Amino acid sequence: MLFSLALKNILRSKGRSIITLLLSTLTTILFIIYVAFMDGSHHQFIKSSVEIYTGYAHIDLKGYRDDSGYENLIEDADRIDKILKNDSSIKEYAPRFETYVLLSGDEKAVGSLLAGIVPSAEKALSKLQDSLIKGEYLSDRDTNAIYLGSDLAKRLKVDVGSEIAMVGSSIDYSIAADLFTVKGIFKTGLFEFDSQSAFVNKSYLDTVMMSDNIASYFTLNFHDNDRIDKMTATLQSSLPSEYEAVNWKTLLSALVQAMLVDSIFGYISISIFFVVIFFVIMIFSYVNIYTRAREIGLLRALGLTSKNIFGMLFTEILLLATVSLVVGTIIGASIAYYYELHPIVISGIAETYKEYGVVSDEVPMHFDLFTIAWNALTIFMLNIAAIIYPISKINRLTAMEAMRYV
Amino acid sequence: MYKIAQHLAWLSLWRRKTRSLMVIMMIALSLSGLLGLQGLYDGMITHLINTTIRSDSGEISLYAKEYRLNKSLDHILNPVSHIEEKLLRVKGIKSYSIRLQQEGLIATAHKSLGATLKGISLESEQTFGQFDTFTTKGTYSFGEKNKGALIGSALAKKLNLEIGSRVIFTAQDVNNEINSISFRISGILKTGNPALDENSVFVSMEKMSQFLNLKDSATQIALRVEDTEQTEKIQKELRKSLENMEVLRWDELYPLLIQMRDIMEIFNLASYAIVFIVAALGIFGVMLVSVLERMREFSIMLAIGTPYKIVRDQIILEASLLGFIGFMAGAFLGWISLIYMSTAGIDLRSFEAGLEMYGYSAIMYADIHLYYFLQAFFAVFFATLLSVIWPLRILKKIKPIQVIQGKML
Repeated sequence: MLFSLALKNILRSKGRSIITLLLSTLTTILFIIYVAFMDGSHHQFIKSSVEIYTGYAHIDLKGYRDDSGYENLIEDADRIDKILKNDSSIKEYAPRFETYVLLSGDEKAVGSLLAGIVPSAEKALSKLQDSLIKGEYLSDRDTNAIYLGSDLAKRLKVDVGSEIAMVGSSIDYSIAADLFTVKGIFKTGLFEFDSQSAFVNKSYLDTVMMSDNIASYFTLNFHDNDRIDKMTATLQSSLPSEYEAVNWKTLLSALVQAMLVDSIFGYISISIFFVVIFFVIMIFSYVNIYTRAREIGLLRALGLTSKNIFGMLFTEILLLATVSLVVGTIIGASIAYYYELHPIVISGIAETYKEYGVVSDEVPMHFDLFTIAWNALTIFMLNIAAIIYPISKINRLTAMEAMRYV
Repeated sequence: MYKIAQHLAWLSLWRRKTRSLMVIMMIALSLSGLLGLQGLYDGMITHLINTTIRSDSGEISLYAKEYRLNKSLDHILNPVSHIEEKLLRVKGIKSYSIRLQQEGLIATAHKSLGATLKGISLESEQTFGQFDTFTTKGTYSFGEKNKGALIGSALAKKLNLEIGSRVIFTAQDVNNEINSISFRISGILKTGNPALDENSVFVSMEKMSQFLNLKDSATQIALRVEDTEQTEKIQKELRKSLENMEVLRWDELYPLLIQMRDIMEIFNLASYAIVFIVAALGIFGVMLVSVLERMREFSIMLAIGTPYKIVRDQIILEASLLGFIGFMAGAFLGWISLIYMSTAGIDLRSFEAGLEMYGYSAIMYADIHLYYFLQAFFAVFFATLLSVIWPLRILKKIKPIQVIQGKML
């Protein structure tokens, strides 16, 4: 009986029902899209940083992350190599040797990162090969070939085929110097990376830097990068105690923090909108309930308890909230899913915000069922919370008071 | 007559206290939130702009033509003394700082990194942007015989440097010869400008000139003006007297900051529009019911000869009072929160690394401007007017006698 009464009331108070439905549905859609967009841009940021070069996880000597000098290198890289080779959870891995050197073109010298990489292994671990814009990518047999970031090449005023002198320090702190020929130029879109990075075949760089069987760290991808924390912890247990396995959440902790702060501000901004929605739903419910005060008084006089009245009014908002939740979630989730597959393109955004790490004009949404579920549930709870006060207020009136209510 | 309408509007408002209070709370809470956010977001951008101006660009910067495209010592300002003479003739320049910089490699005994060495005058930078306030460790000096260097905090952290640590900087001089120079760290600076904190080492101008084999030369001269309103005028004047140089304002050097400020303004306006269109719906709900339940009352007023205008004004006044009280309460709450955020700030030091990455301060301070409140007032006013359009249409269509007889509505 309560259900049918509630349904009749919904149909009778069309204005209030439509406004509540519309508001709740639109808020659900807006919230889902807003969060999907925010998460999508954050994922894009992190994914770019992880996949372009950093990688999903590293293995390094404890202390390397605080002081990445020559004191904290992996000095028995073959041993780590064997461990990683036998770990079935690891999809691919490679050692890297990183140092900072002075690179000089004919006119200009620039301090730059010089990394020794295994070119064939890096194809799957980073976007270095995919980012080639001129010349050729490195091969495992290369000797004096260097692969330069596009902005670094501009700073050095060199092109493919140019010669570059390198002066640095080998791992015994003696001067290391060599001449390299630019084999290829890459552009990842990560401004800082493109303007400060150069790569050489590790096996050759090892002869210059005296770093044979030595690595700064190993970079790796797991088969299941989605469960990265668990994977990293398992890997850690198989490593000798002086080594540590750390994943991108630690490696890019500043970026993760920045995204978290951005999310917090995002949620604070949208919460103001929720405050208004909450009050509008409450006002409409309050007005609607009080225009029916005499009717409610009559129902109480006929024997319905305040619990029954609460049940009836609660059922009304429950029905409205459920309908808006279902419709809003379907529409919101569909939009989020569509724009995850077909990202929104904002022309020029990558160029404008390149210094902030924006590498693409595409801004995808992030479709995640769990996130969508809690977004929808938040709006549902907002609806329910908005009705509590009006119901409790009308229930405080006795049957006679309600019937006499003007 | 109008006074009666005013009185009636006031009484009607408090006849249904809960309803009116709900509307007032809705306006007040959303408005205070919007004001707080607007001030905080503006404060973040202002901090970025101020830091950039103080630590680098000034309001205006001078460069040799092509230097910014090609940061080579082939494109330098020379002779600086002549430029200084010209600057002294321009009215409105408060201070200036002459800088000479070169990119290279900084190395400790254990590690090396790419960095920029900047020759500066401590006194000039002090007048220019109160540089000493950026010192977090050590002293604001280059030590005895200018053998010391100040270093950006992030760079010092990467190199594990402490006060007294020795560093060697290697770079090309003006003759393209590779030279090295050694310094001891005398101070660590945290300017809040990521480009400086992560990449810069500051040494005395004399040492720098000697190191690069240059005399009376600079790569940048940054100027502070007495009145920021006069920046464009001074820029024009400088362009006339320094024809062979680039004379650029800070917003031309850092267009991204202006874009960020514009985006933030659009975001604030959009937030106001969305929130107050929805809020208008809330006020509308209350006003509609308020009009409908008093239809007989209004019909009697109209039937005894009260002009429709008076009834209309009463309803508009009623909604306006609701909006005004809501605005006052919201403005007061917003003002309190802005005062708090602009003096005590919001401590986000637990997210320091993330915020510093983008040049934001870990303790954020809000801005307060009068126009925030004017903007808010117009938003509330607009929402209020929007909310009474429909109830007034209904009222205009009624036939008073039929309503009194109970034949209509």
